[in-house]
Amino acid sequence: MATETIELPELKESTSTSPPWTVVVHNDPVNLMSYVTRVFRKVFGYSKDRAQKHMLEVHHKGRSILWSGERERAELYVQQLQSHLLLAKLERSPE
Amino acid sequence: MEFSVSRSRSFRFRKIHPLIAEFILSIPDTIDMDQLSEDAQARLFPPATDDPQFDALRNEWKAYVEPDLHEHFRSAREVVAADLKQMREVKGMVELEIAPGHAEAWLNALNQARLVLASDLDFDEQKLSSTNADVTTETGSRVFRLNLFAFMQECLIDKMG
Repeated sequence: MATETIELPELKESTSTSPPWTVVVHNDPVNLMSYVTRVFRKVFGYSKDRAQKHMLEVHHKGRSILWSGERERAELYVQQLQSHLLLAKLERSPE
Repeated sequence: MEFSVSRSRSFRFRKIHPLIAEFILSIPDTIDMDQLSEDAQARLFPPATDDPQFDALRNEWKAYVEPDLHEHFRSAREVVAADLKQMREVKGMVELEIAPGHAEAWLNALNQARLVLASDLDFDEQKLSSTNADVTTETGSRVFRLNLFAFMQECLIDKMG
């Protein structure tokens, strides 16, 4: 039986080794809890329970990390959250 | 003031006292982008990041994202201003009807108004929960409007899901 040599494609170095960006929402005494929960559900498609968990984290701990990943998408999420008037910021994850 | 949803799924605030109606009518002026204080501007348009090593990102945000946010907020204000012109008097009280397609704009504009009212006087949670709402004083008037607009937001959120 003849053996066939298969040439494997060259492995490229991953470009996603840099630390991800995080989408952080900070506490604001003005925004209503129900409003914040609704925005989290709308922007991230979270379940009511998951959205409430993040909302309560914001309320009690002052901040919550909503998402982490590539910069472009993180920027889009922050823009959407800010369009709903939440105090959302981008942070670079530690190395 | 009563809140209900009509058969056409419109949101209705009925039996609004004329004095309360005046506060509701003040929403477009409160969120007039050309009249915002520095504190209100800072709250409505926060930077993309607080990290000082990403100045370029902050500058890009200001140049490209802020104008979009500005337009988004202005659009919500216009929808609300148009609905307010349709408010009508019924037996000495006032009625406001909000079409289902306008509800998101209302939520946004009410939130803008609350943030502007709070940022100008540096409100915290204690001040917000104050029962002192003497509307003849500037602070009391702001606390009253903050709570009135919160009530309207809660009504809408409850029915919008």
